[in-house]
Amino acid sequence: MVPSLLSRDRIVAGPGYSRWLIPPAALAVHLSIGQVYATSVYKQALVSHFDTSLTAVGFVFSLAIVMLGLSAALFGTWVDRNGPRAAMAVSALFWVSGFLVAAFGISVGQIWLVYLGYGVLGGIGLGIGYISPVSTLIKWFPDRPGLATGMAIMGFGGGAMVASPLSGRLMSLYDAGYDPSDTSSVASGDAVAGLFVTLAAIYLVFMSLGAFLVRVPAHDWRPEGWEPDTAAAKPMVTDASVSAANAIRTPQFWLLWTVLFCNVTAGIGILEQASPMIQDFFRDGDGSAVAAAAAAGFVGLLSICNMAGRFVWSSTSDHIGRKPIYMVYLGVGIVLYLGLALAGTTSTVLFVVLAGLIISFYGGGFATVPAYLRDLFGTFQVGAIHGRLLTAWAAAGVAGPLIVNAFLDARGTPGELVAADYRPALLTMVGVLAVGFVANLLVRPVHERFHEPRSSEPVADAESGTDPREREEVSS
Amino acid sequence: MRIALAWAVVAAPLVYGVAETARRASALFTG
Repeated sequence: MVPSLLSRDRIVAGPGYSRWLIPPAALAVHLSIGQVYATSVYKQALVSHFDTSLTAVGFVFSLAIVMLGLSAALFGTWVDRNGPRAAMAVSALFWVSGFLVAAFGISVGQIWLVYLGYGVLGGIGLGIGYISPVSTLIKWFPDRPGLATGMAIMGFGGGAMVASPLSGRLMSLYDAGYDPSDTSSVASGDAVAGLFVTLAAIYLVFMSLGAFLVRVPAHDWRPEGWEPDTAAAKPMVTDASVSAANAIRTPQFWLLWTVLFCNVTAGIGILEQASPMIQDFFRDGDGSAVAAAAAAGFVGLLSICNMAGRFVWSSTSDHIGRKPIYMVYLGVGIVLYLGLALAGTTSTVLFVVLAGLIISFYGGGFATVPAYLRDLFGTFQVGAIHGRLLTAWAAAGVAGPLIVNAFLDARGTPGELVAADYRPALLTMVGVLAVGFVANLLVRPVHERFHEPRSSEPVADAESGTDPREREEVSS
Repeated sequence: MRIALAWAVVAAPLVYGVAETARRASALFTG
């Protein structure tokens, strides 16, 4: 149950409402929760404050990502049933509470409160927030779902780019001795607590704006000049509806799970090691031809490629199709990874171009997957299906760094590694991408036996608030 | 007007983030 102010019935758009208000509403949420990728700014400060290890502090971030995957999977049906405003409001509540509990934990010196706050509560806010606008965007943009989800999910990539410099500046306000431009400077724990309270206030306003703006289209609404029959006439695009409960019984769901898992695992392999990797590739005796500042610049450039890829590639998928674009992400990705492993040391420009393209495909994979789900399973419970699919992200978040770190640990110690030491890890990623490529190749339209009966008009049911789990499911 | 305002509100921090990141990324070529 949700308060009537937040209910789906209250936010059905009236005549004249522009669908171009939906992407900014979605962006307001995704820009806020994208902060999760900016934890490196205060990581060292928390290590000093709690007098603990980087692993113990890093666990906060890992926990948040695992909770993202779990909560998206668990609450996806609730999000679809109650609509985007309720989902955005609940997400804001969890995300903001997470910051406040973590800030309290820092103030009283209890790291478990940081785990509970940022990791668990914040992670739940992340999961619900991430999927909150997806199904609404797809319903408003049935003619260009890739563009619509690309815009929103681009915000998730951009969120860290906003939070990272902003956090540095805010911490320098709360701790006069902290200089964000000096990499050796470490902020006090109190400065991080102050930062968390400030971010909580900013994100509460921003996410509330998203919840205020968002609307769902009326049942019979269509974009001008767009005919559903034309869209469904494309190969691999269905006009049928598949429930979330039935979707996870289809081979298509698990093939897509594998595709996303492989694409994310391969991307994280580079993202996790970006800064030391470029220095190790161009190691020159004891030092490196790439300075620490330049390596940090490389990380920044990858963030831009990650964000741009989400928008550019996802929009492109509207024109060339979802299956072909994943052929590109995974197939061209294989070639790029091979190039990096075998010729990455040739020049820094080549290295940067190859890595930038790989990361743009990583971002593109995230942004295109909701539209791929829409094509295969219809719009009925696409948010809930997307939520279940995001468990692949949580799994890849563990597998990617594990693979790379295991290889690198076996080859030597950090600071002494060279390009050849990365080769086994990179070639393993080629294999991972090949598995994803084959999985994508095997994707076919979903069998009719999984479709909802057409007479029941599932979209209308979803909008009237009927619990989809109470519906009779098609037996597999 | 409402659409422009909504876009401006989300675009402003995004532009700030991209500009700051681009400034940091420029160190790749100068650092």
